[in-house]
Amino acid sequence: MRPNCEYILNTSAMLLATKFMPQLTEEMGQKELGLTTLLLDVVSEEFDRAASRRIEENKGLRKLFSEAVSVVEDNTLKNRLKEAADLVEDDFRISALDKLNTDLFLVLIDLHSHIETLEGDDARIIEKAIWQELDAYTKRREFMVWERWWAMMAASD
Amino acid sequence: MLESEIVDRFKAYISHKIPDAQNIEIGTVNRIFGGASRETFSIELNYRFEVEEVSQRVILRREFENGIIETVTTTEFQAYKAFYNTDVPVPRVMWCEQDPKWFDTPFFVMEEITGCENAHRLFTDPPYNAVREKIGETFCRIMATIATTDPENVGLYDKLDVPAPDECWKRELDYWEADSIKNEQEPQPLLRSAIRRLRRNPPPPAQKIAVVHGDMRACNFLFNQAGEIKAILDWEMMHVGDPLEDLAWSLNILWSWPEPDRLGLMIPRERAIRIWEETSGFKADPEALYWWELFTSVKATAIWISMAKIYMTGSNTDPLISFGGLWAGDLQRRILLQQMEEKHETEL
Repeated sequence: MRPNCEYILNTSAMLLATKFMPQLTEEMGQKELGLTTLLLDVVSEEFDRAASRRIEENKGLRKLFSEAVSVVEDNTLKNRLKEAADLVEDDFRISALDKLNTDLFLVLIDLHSHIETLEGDDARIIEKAIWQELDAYTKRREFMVWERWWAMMAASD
Repeated sequence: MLESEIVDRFKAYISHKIPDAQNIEIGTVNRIFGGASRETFSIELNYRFEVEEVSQRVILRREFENGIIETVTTTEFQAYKAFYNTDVPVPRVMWCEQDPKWFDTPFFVMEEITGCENAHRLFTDPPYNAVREKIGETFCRIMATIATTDPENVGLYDKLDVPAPDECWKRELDYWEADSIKNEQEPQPLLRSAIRRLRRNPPPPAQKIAVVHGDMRACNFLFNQAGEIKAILDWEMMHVGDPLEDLAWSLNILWSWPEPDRLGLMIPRERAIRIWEETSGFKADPEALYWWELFTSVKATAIWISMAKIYMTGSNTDPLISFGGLWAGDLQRRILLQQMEEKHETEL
């Protein structure tokens, strides 16, 4: 069979929560196991979206860098933006995508810091685009699982 | 450390601390869930002292081998000692030990206050929703009392670094920025942006150099069904600084999620600020308070980053640590973004 990770993780979490957790008599152990099941849910939630999220984000950052090249005044940063905008994914493992993502975000931090010091409408347009990217960055890292955590803690009172 | 290990070690420790105690027995030992900087145990202690049979519950708080915040037990111990028998309710502390021979790491022991709760989620349902506003008002008054306490009067002045009024913000920001840089496992563009904003727009000097609890928020105090607060806990980040810091920390939306305008799910934000101002005599200028509130999200993010690091590097595999790094980190990022965007919109 081809392992369906989401299914396996959800099933394992359910098994731990329904079969093994009630057998623990100690409150601490119950809560720790409950958290562990939620961790499996986190991994499950992340698994399906992991690659697309990173590819989408890297693409958005490269587009932003291309647009910012003409506005940036610092030549070193200009060159870094050009180089970063030309980077492409040639390895689609999560670790490789993360490495590229890290490199791009380091450039973004320096770009943001530089743009904040510039006057003019063009700089503001890039700044606004950076904030849109940060908004998307935050949304891409949201987990639904915290609602279940809240419910789990409330149920244990 | 396992509960079973605690029994023999604590018995030996009590023999050492109370040499005249006889028939020492350690009853139930419960590890208390929560807390990422200390391991906390509730211990039943029984012994005979002269003709008296003593039976009490005590709390043992030991430093983790790999905690998330670089604090020492002595700071927390000094705080409890300083505020015992004052208008700021705290448990009575008994002993503080640095010698690793007892529990491998430094620890302290204090009396346990029983019959209370600390979880703020209880405020949303009966019976505690009926008393949450009363508790919230008391909380704000106690917070103001801490802020107006002269560090010298409670014996803390010579034990803590005292910054100048215009240096408070910088000292805290420098510390937490360095902490986040040291621990980050991936770039933090939003956090860096917030730190730059804070440096570009520093707050006014502190109105007074005050005792700052450092973690004054929902879940860090004990309350009962009568709506009383019996103890303020978790003083490990206590320092001396700007009194607005505690107010801002208590207002952070993370502690009031999912009711953002209700401090710690207890009382409406504006009323909380008013009570704090009236009791302390300080002003919570909106601009200055915004600075400190944004700062608290930076500080909290730094803490969640350090939790993520110690979990992912395997130095502390407690699931609570991982979850703090994950879900608290996620919510804090959303809060930080909201704080930054609100201000950004008004400036453009």
